[in-house]
Amino acid sequence: MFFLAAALPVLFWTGAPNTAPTLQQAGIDHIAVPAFQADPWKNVSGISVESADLDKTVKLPSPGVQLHMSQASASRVPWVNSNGWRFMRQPSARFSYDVKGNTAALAAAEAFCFGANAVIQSDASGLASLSSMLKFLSTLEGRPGPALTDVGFVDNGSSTDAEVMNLMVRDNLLFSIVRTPNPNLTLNVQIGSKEYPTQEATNPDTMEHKIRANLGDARRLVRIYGASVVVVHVTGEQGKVRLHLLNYGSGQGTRVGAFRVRILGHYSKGQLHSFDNTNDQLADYSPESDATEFTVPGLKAYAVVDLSQ
Amino acid sequence: MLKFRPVNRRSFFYLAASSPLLAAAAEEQIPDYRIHSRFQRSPHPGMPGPYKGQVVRVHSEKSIDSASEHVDRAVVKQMLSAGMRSLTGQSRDQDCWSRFFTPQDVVGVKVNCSGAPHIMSSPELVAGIVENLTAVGVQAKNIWIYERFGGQLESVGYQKFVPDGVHIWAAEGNYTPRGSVTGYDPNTYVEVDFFGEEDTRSFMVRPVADTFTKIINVPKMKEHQAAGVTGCLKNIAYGDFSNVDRSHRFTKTNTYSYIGTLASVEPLPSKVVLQIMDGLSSVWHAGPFSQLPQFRFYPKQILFGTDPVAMDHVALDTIEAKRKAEGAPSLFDRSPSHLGKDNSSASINHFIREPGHVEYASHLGLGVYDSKQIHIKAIEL
Repeated sequence: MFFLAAALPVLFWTGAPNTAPTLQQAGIDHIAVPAFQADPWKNVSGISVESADLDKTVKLPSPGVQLHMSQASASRVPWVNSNGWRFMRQPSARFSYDVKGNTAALAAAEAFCFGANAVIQSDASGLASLSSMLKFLSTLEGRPGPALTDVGFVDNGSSTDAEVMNLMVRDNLLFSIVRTPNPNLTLNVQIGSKEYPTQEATNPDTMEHKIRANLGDARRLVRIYGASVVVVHVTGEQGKVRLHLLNYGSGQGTRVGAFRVRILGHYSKGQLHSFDNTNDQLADYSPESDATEFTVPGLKAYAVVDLSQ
Repeated sequence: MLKFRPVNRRSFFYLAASSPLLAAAAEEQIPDYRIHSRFQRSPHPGMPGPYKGQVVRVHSEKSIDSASEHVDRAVVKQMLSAGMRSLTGQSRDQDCWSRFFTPQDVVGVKVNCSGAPHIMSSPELVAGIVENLTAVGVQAKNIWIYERFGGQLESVGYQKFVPDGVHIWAAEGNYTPRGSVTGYDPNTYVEVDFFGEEDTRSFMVRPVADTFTKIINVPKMKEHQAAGVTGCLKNIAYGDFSNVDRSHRFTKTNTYSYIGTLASVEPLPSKVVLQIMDGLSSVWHAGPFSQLPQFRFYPKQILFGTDPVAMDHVALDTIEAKRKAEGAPSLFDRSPSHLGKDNSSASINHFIREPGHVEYASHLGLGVYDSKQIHIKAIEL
């Protein structure tokens, strides 16, 4: 099982100690620096420092969405670039982003949500948003618990498997990587098996739809309605569940409007913790015997919903 | 929660055996629609209502100036009066409207603004409707002119034509991100997977479910690139549910069965008690929008009824006749050679149109499609 780490992402900063006021003005109080700069930074008050070697990190592409406006009418749904599958494939790795502006906040939320150990490089335009997000993340009570998933995916490390996992993340087909099929999960998938031939996976989209069909939408732990750029990650145990909701359009400043969430199981209480609006509350909360539904009133970048029985 | 399927694949093939048109389309599978609604059908539903198979068509040359597109409000008022009197058999306007509405009603007026600012439910017509509602005692605050998208609705400016207090309301308002579900009822929806899309629900407009006691459908008579025509059925179906444009992809559209399916979701059939179709101006190609003025025309008519299928059949015939006169392919044409992106030619369309959706809806109990059973009463002013 994949456990959520408590650690927050860290800003990777290459500036000299005389840039400390820039960081302090942005509200940054902890940074990672190259090893050779660690000692000089230790004398700066108000900012704690750790060293990091970017060459030893897994470098990540920028999270976000691509609209593919030139490809008319196949689908109006934007293409989501999520690193979720990369975190799951290498749970012990340290990752690094190089992102600008609002994407710095999204990157921090993405890494936190998937429990990844990550450093984030950004420019001046990203400092404020990153700082705000880190502050918000630090306020969330730890809810480690394992990731809750529907599908066990036997990953052979190939690029084919990578793309199938990528599609499952962006379409909220919740999966965990397993060494061997896990009978406790609703569905197990191994590319190259009789049921999931490698040849079929050469079109990852076809394979992803086959997995979805075999799982069945009615058996999926979580569904999202009314938003096409929100990725959900679920953790929990002992009657308590946390939904992490990431708006991948937030890097471009796009706020998602209200959307509906359905999660299997009866949860009598639900509480929303939203990055951008602490006054937001869940609406039209409907705990049925087999599933609970509610509306999230909007999402700027990241929110968590804590549910309890 | 009520769950039912109005027509599944098996029953559809049974229905198809009775209709050549349906039989032709039966080669394609009807999607698996799952309807969630807590509402029961009224013993006296508004659709097809008391005037099943009846259509009143009122025409006036003076109703709109084709060159300026100026609508004569006084003439439209006369057309409204003549149409309602003919439909109901009453001799006083107030008695006509009292046939449908009481002072206690909260009335939704479903307009169509997708072709605004040129082609939409005329504000002059909507003003006349509101005037008659208030005359029978419906309070202004209990009248809602509504549409799905705020930008389209506001571009028309209905508020300038109606009394203060009348609501001008959009499910997805200007200040709400497009796609937001706040304006929809979370408990009334149709779930269907057309093309493997991830978002499989279409939610009903919220006040339709929880506020309105009656609805007047005021569609605009238009050709539609996907549905063939857009009239009563499409306006009340796609205009009252979220996330419906997913039913088209590439040249394929599921409007054939989705329009009727949505229109049959309660409480729509029970609450939509009156259909008044604006055919003062129209579009005969590249609809439902009206970006290409060469495809506008001016039938100068208003249709009245309670049967959306019969009325849409009349609209279909009107558009088809215009296309024939212009030398354009039939709405029923399915030739791949007429598909393309550049629909500035009247021979080219983005989708294979599905005008058969009108007949399909008749098999869902929404009205009469058979021409022999439709009685059209024509009035000339």
